[in-house]
Amino acid sequence: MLTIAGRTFRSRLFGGTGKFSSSRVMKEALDASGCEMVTVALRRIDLDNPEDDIMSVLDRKKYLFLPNTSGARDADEAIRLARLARASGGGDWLKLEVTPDPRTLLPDPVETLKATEILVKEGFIVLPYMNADPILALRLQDAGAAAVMPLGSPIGTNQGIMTAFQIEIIINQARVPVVVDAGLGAPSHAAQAMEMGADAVLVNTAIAVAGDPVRIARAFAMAVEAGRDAFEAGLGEKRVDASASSPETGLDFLR
Amino acid sequence: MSPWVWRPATFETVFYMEIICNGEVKNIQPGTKLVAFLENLGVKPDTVFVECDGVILQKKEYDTFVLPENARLELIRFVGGG
Amino acid sequence: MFTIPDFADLQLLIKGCSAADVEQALHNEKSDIHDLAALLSPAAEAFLPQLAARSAAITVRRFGRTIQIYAPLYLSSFCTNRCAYCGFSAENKIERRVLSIDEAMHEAEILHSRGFEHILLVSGEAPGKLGVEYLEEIASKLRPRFAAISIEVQPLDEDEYARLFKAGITSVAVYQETYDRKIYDQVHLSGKKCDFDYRLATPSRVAAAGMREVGIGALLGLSDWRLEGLALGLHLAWLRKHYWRTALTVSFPRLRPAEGDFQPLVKVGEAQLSQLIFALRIFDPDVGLLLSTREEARYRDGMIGLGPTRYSAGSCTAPGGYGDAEISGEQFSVGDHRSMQEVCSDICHKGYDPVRKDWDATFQEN
Repeated sequence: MLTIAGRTFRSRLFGGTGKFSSSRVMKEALDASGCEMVTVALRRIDLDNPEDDIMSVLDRKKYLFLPNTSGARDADEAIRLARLARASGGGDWLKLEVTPDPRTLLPDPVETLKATEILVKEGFIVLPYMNADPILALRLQDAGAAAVMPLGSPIGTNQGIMTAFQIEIIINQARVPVVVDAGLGAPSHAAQAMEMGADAVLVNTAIAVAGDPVRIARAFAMAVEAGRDAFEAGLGEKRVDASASSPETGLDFLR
Repeated sequence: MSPWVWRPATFETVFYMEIICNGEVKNIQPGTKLVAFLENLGVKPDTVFVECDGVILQKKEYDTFVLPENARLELIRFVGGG
Repeated sequence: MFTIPDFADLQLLIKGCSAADVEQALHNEKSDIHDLAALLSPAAEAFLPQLAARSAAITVRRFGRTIQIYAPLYLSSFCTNRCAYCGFSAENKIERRVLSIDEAMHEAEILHSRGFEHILLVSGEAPGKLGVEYLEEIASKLRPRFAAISIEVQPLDEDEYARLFKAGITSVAVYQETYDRKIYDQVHLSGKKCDFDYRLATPSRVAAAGMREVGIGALLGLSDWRLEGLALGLHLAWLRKHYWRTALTVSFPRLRPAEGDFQPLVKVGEAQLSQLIFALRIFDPDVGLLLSTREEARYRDGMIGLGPTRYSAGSCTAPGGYGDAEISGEQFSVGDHRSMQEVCSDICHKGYDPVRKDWDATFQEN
């Protein structure tokens, strides 16, 4: 079972709550996905429409809320959002994202590391969203991140795992769980991440914008399970050419 | 009171004061408690968290917290996000 | 904290390995501990040329056609431990000495004039005779003259390693001798070295102190070499996970004739040594592998390019032995008596580049 910061999760699929057509669809899709942790964002209330509380449909006993710092452009903004999120009473969990470039929404490694260092000291359980940079993953781990969340491809692009080579290195090196986040556009992408040995995946857009979000949520759940099973079973590894002894590697010198 | 807004000395300026809530100017009576302000806006207090002048208020404070004049209030809640 | 499974449990990993497992391990892109077990197993003996080929391919891809060259400088033969297998063992009646700083510098100058840039400072374990202050002083004096300074001395505490790093020492070798706790207790008769766990935790302290490199190893001839190999693999993997900034090396010292009549408890032949080296190379493509002058010239020449990446040369294992060839009191007698120039020219002959420095301690800002 997956354990992050001492908490265990039966499902290795984490859901997002953005971009759904309605809170009803969101709830049904998340229920179908079997996920136990969902990301949520923090925003000012719309004073013209104060009743619009879409999160009220989600049972917070069933779903662990993972507040994100989306919209933060630097460490200071992210830290402010983090503290606000904690005041919500939802605990210390935090998906840290710092995205200064509004076009690509790619995470800023320098500010993310800085914010992680500070937030960990303040007692947050920090899960940083990061580019698939192995050294950054290790630096974040050293700074006390509870997991690392490398991106498969830029957020919302549904391109799948364009960073496979890097993510593989991260998975091999990290001591903390690796959650592949962003860019997973199809159940096959999620399965691929799990087969590679990722500890979990986070999927939002691909579920929210699908023709039938409830059905695709179920498909993602099955793909994640299949991928994990495959990983644990041990895939037949890719074979490399291990040519037999050539004259060059003769061992005649041995006594 | 905002220096750039001219207002005649009327009943309002004597018995009301301004705060800024989510970027909008709101006139409230001195002594208004947070919980009353929220209910007046139509916001259920338990669905929202509040930052006043950069300080995050605890839920248990909502009933007793008196909004100060010129307070900068941020009313925040969870919304959908990835 | 790193712990080592009981050797009886490690044995189970190796026991059932078949030829098919070996072939699988040879073809896998990445290898895990089960692959390592297969490569170390008796079933892999028939595949030694294939192991060599795979090991050679990985080594040339990762390290190129280079062999790093270093020389040991023995500082002291005093030792407070009684270790059944070691020439410096406290009970052995040998002429003992500890070099003064000036004497040590004189020896170092000789090595420098012979062309060495990487020097390994070695001593027995006698902190009273040779402590951290001594090492600090000698390191700061050697630093301008040598590109890299390593030590192989008594295990120290983390803050002491940090001090030595500051003084210019960049790498520490500390061999467990054997990962087999039972045998360890049998051969370490008295002295601080009897504490298996303190020694086992030493590489972690070295890495935590910020050293650039830590070397681990097992003395071959004490316990089952296959299991020592597995234990080394586990230790490497653990260190990689916990200290990603630290480069790792492994040494494969086979017991050499030494003062005190100790006979190896198990025989490890050249074919077995080679299997161990190839297996660890395939298991960990990035690890530096050392082959010292304990081995004969013929063997060391043969192994060039097949896995090892670092050779000592022209070594003398008695303190003061470079300046005075007549001096006695060596730790063990070496197997390769060639000079550094001869070793280097043989390496060149094989199409490899003998590298005398790959880092400058002077680059380090302290």
